[in-house]
Amino acid sequence: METVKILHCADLHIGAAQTMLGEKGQTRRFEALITFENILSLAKENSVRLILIAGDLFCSNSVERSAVNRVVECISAIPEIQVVFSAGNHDPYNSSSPFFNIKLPDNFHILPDTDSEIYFENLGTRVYGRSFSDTYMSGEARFALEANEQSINIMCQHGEIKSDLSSNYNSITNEFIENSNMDYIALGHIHKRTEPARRKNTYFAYSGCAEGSGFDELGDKGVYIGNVGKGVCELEFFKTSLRTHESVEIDVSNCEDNPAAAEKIIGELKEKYGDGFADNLYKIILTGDIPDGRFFDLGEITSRLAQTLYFVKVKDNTEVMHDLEILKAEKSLKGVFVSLMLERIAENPDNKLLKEALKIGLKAFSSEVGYNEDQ
Amino acid sequence: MKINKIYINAFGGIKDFTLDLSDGFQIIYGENEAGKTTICEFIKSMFYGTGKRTAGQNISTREKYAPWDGTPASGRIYFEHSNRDFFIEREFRKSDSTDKVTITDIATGKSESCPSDIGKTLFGISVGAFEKSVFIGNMPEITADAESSSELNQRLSNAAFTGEDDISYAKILKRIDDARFKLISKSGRTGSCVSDRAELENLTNKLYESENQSVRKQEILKAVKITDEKIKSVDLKLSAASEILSRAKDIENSQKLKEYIELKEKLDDITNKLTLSDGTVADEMFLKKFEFGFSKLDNIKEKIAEGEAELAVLKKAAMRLDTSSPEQINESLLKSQEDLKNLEGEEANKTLECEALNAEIESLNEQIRIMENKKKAVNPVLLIIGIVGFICAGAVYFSTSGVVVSAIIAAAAAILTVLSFVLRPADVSAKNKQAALLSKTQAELKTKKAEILMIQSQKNNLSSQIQSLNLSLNFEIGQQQKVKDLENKLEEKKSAYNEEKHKVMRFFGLPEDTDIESLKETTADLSKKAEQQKQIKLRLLYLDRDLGGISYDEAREKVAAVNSPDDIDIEAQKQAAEKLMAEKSELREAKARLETELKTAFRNIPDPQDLRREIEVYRERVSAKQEFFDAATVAAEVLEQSLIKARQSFGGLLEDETLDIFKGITGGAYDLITVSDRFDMAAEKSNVFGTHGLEYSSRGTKDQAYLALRLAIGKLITGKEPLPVILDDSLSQYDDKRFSLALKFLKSYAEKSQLCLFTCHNAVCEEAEKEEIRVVRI
Repeated sequence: METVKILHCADLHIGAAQTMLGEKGQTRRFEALITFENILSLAKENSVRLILIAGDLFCSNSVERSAVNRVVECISAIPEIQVVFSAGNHDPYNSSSPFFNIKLPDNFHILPDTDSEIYFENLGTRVYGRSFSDTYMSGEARFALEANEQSINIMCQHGEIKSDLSSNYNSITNEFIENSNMDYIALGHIHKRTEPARRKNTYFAYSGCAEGSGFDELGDKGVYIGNVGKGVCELEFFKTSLRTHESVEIDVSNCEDNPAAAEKIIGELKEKYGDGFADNLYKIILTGDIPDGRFFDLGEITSRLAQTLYFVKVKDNTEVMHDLEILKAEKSLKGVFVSLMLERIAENPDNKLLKEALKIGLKAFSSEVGYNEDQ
Repeated sequence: MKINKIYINAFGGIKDFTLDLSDGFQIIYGENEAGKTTICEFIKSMFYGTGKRTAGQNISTREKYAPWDGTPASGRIYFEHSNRDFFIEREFRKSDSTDKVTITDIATGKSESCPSDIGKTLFGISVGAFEKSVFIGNMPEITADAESSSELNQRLSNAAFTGEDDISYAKILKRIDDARFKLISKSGRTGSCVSDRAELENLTNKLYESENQSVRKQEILKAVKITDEKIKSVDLKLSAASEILSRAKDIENSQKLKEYIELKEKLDDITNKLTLSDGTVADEMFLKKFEFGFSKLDNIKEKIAEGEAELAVLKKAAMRLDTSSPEQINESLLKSQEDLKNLEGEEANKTLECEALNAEIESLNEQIRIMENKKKAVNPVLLIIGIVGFICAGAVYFSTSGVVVSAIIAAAAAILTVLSFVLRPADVSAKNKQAALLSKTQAELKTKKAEILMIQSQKNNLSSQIQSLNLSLNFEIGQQQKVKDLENKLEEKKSAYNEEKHKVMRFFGLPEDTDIESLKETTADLSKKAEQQKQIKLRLLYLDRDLGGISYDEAREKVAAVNSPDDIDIEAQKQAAEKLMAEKSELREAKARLETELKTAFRNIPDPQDLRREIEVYRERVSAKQEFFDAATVAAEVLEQSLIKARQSFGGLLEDETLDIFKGITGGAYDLITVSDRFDMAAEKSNVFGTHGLEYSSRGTKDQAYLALRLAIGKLITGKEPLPVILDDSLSQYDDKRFSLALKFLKSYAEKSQLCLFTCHNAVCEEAEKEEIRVVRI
C-alpha cells in the first residue's frame, strides 16, 4: 500500500470540568464526547482506515465510567477502522487507566508505555509510539525501535517538540524527527493546530484539540483527515468543534444606549459567524470613541446578549471622547482634577495606570464606576 | 460675552418671537404666562440643549417646550463672544445629539455645525454650572427647617465645584471608593480581588500538592514496576524449579512411563491383529454387529428347536391317547342329543301337571282363609259369665240390700256381656275339611315335583355327556390343526434362518455357505482381542493422566533421560518451590496494595497542567483588578487634591466676592460673610458682633445672600469674559427697600456685563424706570 487514509485527532479531554462557564460548565463537560462520536462518523464517511488519537482523550483517569463505555461502544461500532490510542499526561496508561483490565474491541489498540509498534498488515502500515504512564514523562533521546522500510511508518505521540529533553511532557527534538524514519508523526498535547511541516522525510503536525475549552483556544477546532505515505502527506482540516471560543471587538461608538449596543453586537456576530453564531462562546470587547456622558452598563449588555448567545462575557475598551484641554480649563472640580491628572501624565507619559485613573475619575463625575467581573 | 438678540421660531407656546437685548442691566417684563420662563429656557437650551429627563421630572424639558402646534422647535440666538458676533441656529429634534445646531460667524458669514452643548465651549462651564451661576431661576422655596437650607447650600456647593446639580464631591469620591472597596475593602480583608488572590494562593498550593502527589505517584508506579519485575524473577525461578521437579517426577514416573510404552506397543500389535484383510478394523462396533447377527440366528434356531420339540410332543401325545375318531364321537353325540330331547318333552308334561296341582292348592288355601274369617255369633264363654254376673248382682241386692256392691257386680256383668258379642271365636269345622283336602293335593304335587327332578337330573347327565362329546370332538379337530400349524411355522422359521444367515454373510462379504460356528469362533477371538484393546486403552488413559499428558515419543525420551541418573533431591526442590510460591503470593499482594493506593489516593488530585492554566487565569484577573484598584486609588487621591486646590482657589475669593455683592445688595448691612465648604453661609451684621448662620435669617436676607453667592460664583467661574446673567423673577421676596438697593446694585454690577431680570411685577418696572434701567415689555 502506498498511502493509507488516516484521521489524526487529539486532546478531546472528555469530562473536563469547565468551571469558568458557571452553570453551562456542566453540560459543556460532555460535549467533547459528542464531538468524539462525530469524529468517528466523519472517519466512516471519509473512508478512513486508521484513526490516531494522540493522547488526552479523557480529562483524567477518573472520568465517569459511562463516558468510557460510550467511547468503547463507538469504537466497536466501526470494526472496519483501526484505532490507535497513545495515552497522554491527562489519561496515562497505567493500572488506574479506565481502559485497564476491560475488554476492548479488536480494532482498538493502545500503545503501551514503552517504545512499541503495531503492525497492520492489511494496511501495510506500522504505528509506533509510547503512551504516558503517568502525569509526567521525560522524553527519550531516540526511539528504541527501527522503522520498517517496507511499510508506511506512522508515529502517534503525545508530547512537546522542544530543543532539548528537559520537558516533563515526553518531548521530542527536531533531530529526533529528522532521524526517526517516520513518514508521519501525529502529535498531541499542544491544543493549537499546526500545519503539517516536514523535516527530511518526515511530516509532522499537531491536530490541535478537537473541542476548545477556553478563550485561550479561539476559533475552529477539529481533526486532520487525509492520505499519508512515503513522501506523501495530504491532510485536510475538518472542523469538529460543536462550539468555538471567539474574541470579538465591536465598535459601539454609534450606539446610543445598552440595547443598541447589544443589538449591534448580535448583528455583527450573526454576520460574521453565520446561522450557528448563537452556539459559540464569546468574549466581546467594546471599542470605539463614545461621547462624554455616555457609558455602557456591561451587566445589562451581557444580560441582553445572554438571551441569544450560549455564553458571553463583555469587556469595555471604549474611550470616552473627552476634550481634555477644554476640560482642563473648566473652572470646576472636574477641571482641576483633569488638570492635575494631565500634569502627572505629562511627568510619566508611559504610565498606563495614570491614564486609567483619569478615565475612572472622569467617569465618576457622571456615573457609577466599577470593575466588570465578567471581563 | 453678551446676548444681542433672540429669535424664537417656535418653542413652547412662543412662535415667531424676537427679543433684543442690550448691554448692562435690563428688565424684561411680562405678565404671568407671557413666556418669561420659556424665554429663559430657550436661551439655556440654545447653548446647552434640553438635556435628559432627570429624576423627579414627569416629562423632559424637550417635551415640555415642544411647540404646541407640533412644529419642530427652533430658533436663533445672536451673541457677541470674544469681540465677534455670532449666531447659533438650532433645530430641536428628538434629542440633543440629533439636534441640528450651527454657529455662524456673522462677519464672515461662515457657518459650521457645532456640538449640542456649544455653551460649554463658549462659556467654559457645564450646563449645571450655568444654571447655578449665571442662570438664576426662582430660588427654591426655603423653608425654616435646617434640612432644606442645608440642601440649598449643598446644591450651591455642588454647582460651584462640579457644575452638576445633584453631584457632590462626596458622591464622586464615593463612586470611586465603592468601586475600589468592592475589589479590596478598607481593611484589605475582603473584596473580589482579595478573594481572587486567595483563590490564586489556594490553586498554587494545590499545584504544589499535586506535584508532590505526582512524585508520590511516580514512586508508587516505580514500586509497582519493581514488584512486577520481582514477580517475573520469581516466576523464572519457579519455572526452573518446576522443570527440576518435573524431571524428578519423571524419575518417579519411570515405571509408569515404561508401562506406558509397553502398553502402547501392545496396543499397536492388537490393533494390527484386529485389522482385517480389507483394512477394516474389527473394532467393538464391528464385532457387535457380528454378535447381533449371530444372536438373531441363534434366536431363530432356538425357536425352530422349540417348535420341533413341541411338534414331537403333540404327535407323541396323539399316539398315546386312546380316543375315538371324530366321526365316532359325532355319532354318539347325535344319539345323546336325541335322548335329551325326549326327556325335555317329559319334563314339560310333568310340569303342566304340577301347575294344575298348584292351582288347586291355591283354591283350597283361599277357601280355608275364608273359613278362618268366619266367626261364631257370640262368644259363649263371655256370655255365660256375663249372665251369671247379672244373677249374682241380683242376689246381692236382694239378700244384703247392698246397693253399691250389686251395682258394681252388675256393671261388670254388663261389660262382659258386651265383650261376648265383640270377641267372637272363629268357626273351625268346615275349615278342617278343606284342610284335609289341601293336604292331599299337596302330597300329590310333591310327588310330581320329585318326578320332574328326576327327569332334570337325567337331562343334566345327558347334557354333560353331550358337552363332553363336543369337547372331545373339538379337541381332536384342534389337535389336528395344531400339528398342521406347527409344521407350517417350522417351515417358515427355517426359511427365515437361512435368509438371515445369507444376509449376515452378505453384509460381511463372506460366502453364503460359510459355517456359522467357525465364524462364531473367529469373531469370539476377535472380541477377546478387542476387549484387550479396550482395557489397554483405559489403562493408557490413566497413565496419560498421571503422566500429565504425554506422547509415546516423549515417554521414550523421558525414559531415556531418566535412564541417565541425576542426583535430584526432590523434597528439597519441593520445599524451594513452595517457598517461591509463597514469595510470589506476597509480592502479588504487595502489588495489589500499591495498585489500590494508585486507584484511590490520587483519584481527586487535580491535574497540574489544568491547575497551571487556572492559575494563569486567576493571575490575570488579580492583576487586572489590582491595576484597576490602583488606578482608582490614584483617581481618589487626585480628586481629593483637586478639591483642596479648588477650595483654595475659590474659597477666599468666593467669600470676598460674595461679601462685596452682598454688601452692595444690602446697602452695607453686613460686614462679614463666611462661606463654608458646603456653602453654608454665615454673616456678621455691621455693628453686631458675631456671625450667625443664614438659615436663621429672614427669607429676604437669604435670597439676597444666595443671589450674592451665585453672582460671585458666576463671576469667579466664568473667567475673563463675564457671562450674561439671567434672573428669572429672582427678587420676588425682597421688600421695597431691599428691592431698591438691589436694583441699584445690579445696575452697577452689570455695567460691564449683561444682566437680564425677568419679572411679572409692574412695581419692578416702575422702580427700574426711575433708575433709568431699560425695561422691555413682552
